[in-house]
Amino acid sequence: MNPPHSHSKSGALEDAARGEPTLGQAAALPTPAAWASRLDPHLRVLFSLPSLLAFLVILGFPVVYMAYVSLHEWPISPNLPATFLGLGNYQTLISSAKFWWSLWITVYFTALAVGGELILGFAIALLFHREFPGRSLARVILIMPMAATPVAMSLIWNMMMEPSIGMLNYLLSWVGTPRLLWAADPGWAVPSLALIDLWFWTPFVALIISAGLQTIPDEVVESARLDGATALALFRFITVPLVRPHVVMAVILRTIPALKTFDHIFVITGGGPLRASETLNLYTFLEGFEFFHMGYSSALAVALTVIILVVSALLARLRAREWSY
Amino acid sequence: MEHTPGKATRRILSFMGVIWLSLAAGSPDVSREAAAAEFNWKRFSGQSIRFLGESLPATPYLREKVIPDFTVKTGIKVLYEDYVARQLRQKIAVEMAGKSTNLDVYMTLPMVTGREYWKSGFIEALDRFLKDPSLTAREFDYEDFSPAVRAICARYFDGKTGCVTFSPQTQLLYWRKDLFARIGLPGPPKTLAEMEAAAAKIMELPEGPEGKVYGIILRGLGYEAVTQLSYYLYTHGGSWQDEKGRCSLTAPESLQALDFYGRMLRKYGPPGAVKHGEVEAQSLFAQGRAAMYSDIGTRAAVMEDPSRSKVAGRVGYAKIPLGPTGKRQMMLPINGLFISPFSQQKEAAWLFIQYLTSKEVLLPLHLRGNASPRMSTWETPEYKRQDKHPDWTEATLYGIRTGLPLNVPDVIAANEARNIIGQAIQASILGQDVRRAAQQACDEWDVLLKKTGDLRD
Repeated sequence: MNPPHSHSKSGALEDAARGEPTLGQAAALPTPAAWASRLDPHLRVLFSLPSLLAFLVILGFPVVYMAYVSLHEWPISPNLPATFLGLGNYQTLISSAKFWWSLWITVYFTALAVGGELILGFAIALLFHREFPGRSLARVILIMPMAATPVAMSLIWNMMMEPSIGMLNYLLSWVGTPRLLWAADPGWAVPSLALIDLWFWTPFVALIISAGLQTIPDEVVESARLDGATALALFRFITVPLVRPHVVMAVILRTIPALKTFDHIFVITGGGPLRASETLNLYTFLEGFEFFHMGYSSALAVALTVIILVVSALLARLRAREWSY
Repeated sequence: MEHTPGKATRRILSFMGVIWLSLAAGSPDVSREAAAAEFNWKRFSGQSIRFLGESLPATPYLREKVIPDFTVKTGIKVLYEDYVARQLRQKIAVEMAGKSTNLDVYMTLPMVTGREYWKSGFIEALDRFLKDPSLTAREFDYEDFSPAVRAICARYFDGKTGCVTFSPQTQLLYWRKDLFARIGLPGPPKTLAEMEAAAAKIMELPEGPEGKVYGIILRGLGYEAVTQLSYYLYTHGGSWQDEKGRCSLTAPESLQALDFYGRMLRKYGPPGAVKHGEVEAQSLFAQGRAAMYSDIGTRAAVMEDPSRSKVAGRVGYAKIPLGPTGKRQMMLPINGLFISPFSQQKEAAWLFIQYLTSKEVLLPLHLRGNASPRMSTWETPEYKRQDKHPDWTEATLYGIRTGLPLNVPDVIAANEARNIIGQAIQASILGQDVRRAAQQACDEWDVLLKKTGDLRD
């Protein structure tokens, strides 16, 4: 934004700034921010209204419409009428064993994935905090999974996890451990999927924590060393407390997406075997786009949205506490 | 107008093709040729239609040859998109829900979606096109389609014709001649008991250079396995539903079938079979990892292609062995072509379906391994000359002549039923209690059957 140059413009603007002559003098070339602050507060609202409205429509309409559909038995056919059920779909949902099962699977997957990413991410961040030859190259390699296409990578993981011809079992046979069925075993399906999530997102967590590590002032570490702190004590009493806000941030940024993970679960197990990896998001998808129970599926989606909102609110609170020490 | 010379040449070529075909078909009937000359393929020239199809082995040929030829012949442009079956179903449903006038022709499996789409008003009945000589060329000859496939296209739509069959996909048994020779068996098993014995013997063979060879490969991925269980279910004397329409998977014969299917994969199949769908099962067999494989017959083209298969030339084809009842009821899934009722160019769409399922197009597709639903195709000298696998021809023709579309239950919510039944199949493969799994599936399915009105009281 260029400051106004022409006389007429600056004259008009000076009119708006009436009553502040000294500033008016100084504002021969006022900054846009200075001008904005002097504008009528209501006018500011007016200016931001278009983008606010667009935002509301884009964000709000689907959510409101989804909530509306969730109150109906909603056939996919445009020729058949929708039947109003009130909270009927929600009653079905509460009494459905499948819903509670999928919720459990969602929580299980999220805990495994985010927990693993945190531990591994912290370790990697500590490793990268030290100087070693080839560190910048290793950093570039580290963030590559984040740039990869999830579906294509999932297909590759799917092949690697193939029990008879996959690479993972081939590697295991080197070590001498028994071969695994990976995602084909109902007991291993969620851990296998969490492992893939780990591959995708540990670098992200490592990046956040490593940013945290860089904020620890050298003096603090130095003085602790002078006081004779061991490496373990240094980690326990200096590093961990100081990067905690970053850890909380990483947890927030990973938990919310993990709760709604879809791509690699869909590609690799499709929710199976049996219902071993049917997360809430996948269950919602199956009900909606495989069986076309649009009403019920919308109710599930509303439930998932509410769960995510509640979790986000709780995590945000945690964050507020962390940052205010 | 810079394309005019090319167009003219292609027109002449296609005209020559028509003459050549009518000669090849052995029908130098003057009146028929006259009728062909009368039929105006150019009536809807300049229109443009959109076609959603399933990704099939025939897809590249459709895209590169058949559709451009159609445009030259009729002046109708075709926008063609292909998807795998599952995505295709979703795509069609979503477009239909929005009453898209932009979709004219689509391909789907009427056994799975027919009743639901018909009830929802997603299907235009084709009878008026078939009966109208100005819209249907005489040489189209709908009677030439196998009665079994015609019956399927009339089964779900209140007696009307809802589709024209593009690709019938009956099941058969693929067996490795070389491996059977190694265990001292001259031919394919005739009964399921023989089949199990052969699978057990194969498992004892020492590991070869290609790795462990398993007795059998079948689909194990829940809903995809349902269609493959169907044959085994009926040859055991079981069925999907009883006479009142209730789930009958808990009947002793059905339980036997479920147990057999699961046991074969658990004991003689590759590890992780519960994750093997159509594609995985096919590629494992093509890589030489099993001695037997039962699935739809159109995969033979892949098996015999040395660039895609390590077992080319070593595969035999047979009808799937007989179960305890000694009865053989083949299943006949078909891919049908449908017109959307929301289409604004239904006549042009019909010309397209007509061309895609004409003798002229189905013959070259058949020669490429896509079994033809037309009986005449199987009798053409071109096919007889190149038929290197009479065992495949016999098994496939048998299915196309006698098959029923019961590869999935004949109900409105067939797709959802598939998901429910698939759980019982997976439980059986994993060695869980089959009776309990079947009971669980039936409990869930009966609720659904009641809801959709599929129960007959």
